[in-house]
Amino acid sequence: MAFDVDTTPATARDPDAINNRTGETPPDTLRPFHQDEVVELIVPARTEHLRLVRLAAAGVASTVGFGLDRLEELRIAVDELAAVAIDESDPSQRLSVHYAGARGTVTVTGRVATTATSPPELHRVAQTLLDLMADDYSLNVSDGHLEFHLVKHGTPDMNES
Amino acid sequence: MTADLDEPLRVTVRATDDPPTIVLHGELDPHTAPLLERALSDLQSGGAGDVVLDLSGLEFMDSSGLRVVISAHKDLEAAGAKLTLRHPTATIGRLLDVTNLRSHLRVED
Repeated sequence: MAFDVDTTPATARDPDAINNRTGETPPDTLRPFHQDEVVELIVPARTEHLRLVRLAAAGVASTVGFGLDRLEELRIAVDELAAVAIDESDPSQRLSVHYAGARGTVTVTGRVATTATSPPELHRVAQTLLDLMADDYSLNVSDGHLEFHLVKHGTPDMNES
Repeated sequence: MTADLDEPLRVTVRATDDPPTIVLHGELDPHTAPLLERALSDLQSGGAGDVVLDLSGLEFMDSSGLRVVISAHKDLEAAGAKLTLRHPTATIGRLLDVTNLRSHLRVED
């Protein structure tokens, strides 16, 4: 497979790009780290799609300036909650996940149809990981749907300002 | 996050190593954890004593993976053998640290 490689300097293609020679950074270059980012993902409620759930979380987190450690913690936390949701549902159902990133914080909500009438009891190891990795999380069942909610902050510095 | 899209976890069993070694490459989650569980079970039913898990290519692990590892550790310990986690990546090493599992499991960096 052949690839076309654009050798045009980045600054010529995109006037917002950083000028590496002068070190000047156009004001708009940092714009993505201050924008609100919203991503919606709908996947079959099967464990093979947990990778996509994690990948989307990482994408949103990196866009709002998460460091690697916080990003990895978010990936684990959203994986744990989505895994519970999938476990409580049926493979024919669809898991919808909404990611919102703003001001160094990522909020994730997930929803899937279930026949359960109350949230499941988490396995001890999953509970431990969620307590360690998430800043806030919840699992609820209402109207035939299991919903999870997760909040993860980026670096402490970003949230202290 | 660079695991093969078609093969999220590759499990290679080097049964003739001393001790037998299971090499993991990719991501360990509820979808792939049964692969590791099976490999460990096969080794144990084949009479293996100590077992090494080579984690140098493991990029992600959640509670489902930790549960398999903890269970294997307990089973081997009960049989008078030991499980060694070898060369965990930085991500997995940090997970073992924050969960305090490093102090309970045998880890070789």
